[in-house]
Amino acid sequence: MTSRIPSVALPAVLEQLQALRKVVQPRALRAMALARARWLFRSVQLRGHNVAAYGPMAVQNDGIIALGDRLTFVGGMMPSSLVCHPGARLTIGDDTQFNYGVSLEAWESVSVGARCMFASFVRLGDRDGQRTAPIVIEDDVWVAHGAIIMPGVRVGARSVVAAGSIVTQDVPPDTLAMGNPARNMSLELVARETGT
Amino acid sequence: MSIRDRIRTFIVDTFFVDEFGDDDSFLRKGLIDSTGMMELVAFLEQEFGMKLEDKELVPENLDSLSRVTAFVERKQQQRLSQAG
Repeated sequence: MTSRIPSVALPAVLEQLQALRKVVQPRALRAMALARARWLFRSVQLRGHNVAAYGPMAVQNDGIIALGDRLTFVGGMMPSSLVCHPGARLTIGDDTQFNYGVSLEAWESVSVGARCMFASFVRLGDRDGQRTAPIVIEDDVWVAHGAIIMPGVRVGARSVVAAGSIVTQDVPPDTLAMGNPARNMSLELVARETGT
Repeated sequence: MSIRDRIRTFIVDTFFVDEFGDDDSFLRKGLIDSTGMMELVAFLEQEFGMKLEDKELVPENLDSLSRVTAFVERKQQQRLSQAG
């Protein structure tokens, strides 16, 4: 007697399901991130297109926040926070990416350029115990894990702030800032072209 | 010990590299990374009692043993001429 149930190769089906999941999951996550960003940044006056938040965030806007296009806020073990106090201005340029636990706080003015990268637990606040002074981060800046940018600091274009650095003075363009307090050295001294 | 030897000894002891010539680029040869460069700067300041300005931290001054030696000598000359 032969079985009436057609034999289906189970592993093959599972494989197809896995493949389907691989294709669908990132898109679903992306859609959710875009929707979440719409909700989280509902109080933001100027919000660009395709701003995505992949995790929870704390947003407190009593001033003016302007977000560029295609921003990414990565989710993780700590929510990032954006705080803009009354009368303050917080600006973020296009294509900038933030890892989790980043804290941006504006009492007067915090301005971030385009195509910047902020690693986890970076802190930017334009007020400390002493004073309030605007922070400017120019384009293509990379700020590594746990760095703290102090009030009144301007970080030049294409510069890198090393992990854990406390930046207390201006960083010129194409410079590596490292240490506490951060010292600036030419990026040419420490960074080579990839592959050479 | 000469300035060159003192700097070379520091580099050998700190970064565990020995096979390099006086004109080899620290960067291109992969001898010293960015954190190491900060250590080298701190060493120069301590060992030779000088203060390095941020704008002096460029490859022309620091990217090979001969350049570092020349840079330190130049700085010491400057200080002597200022003192005298």
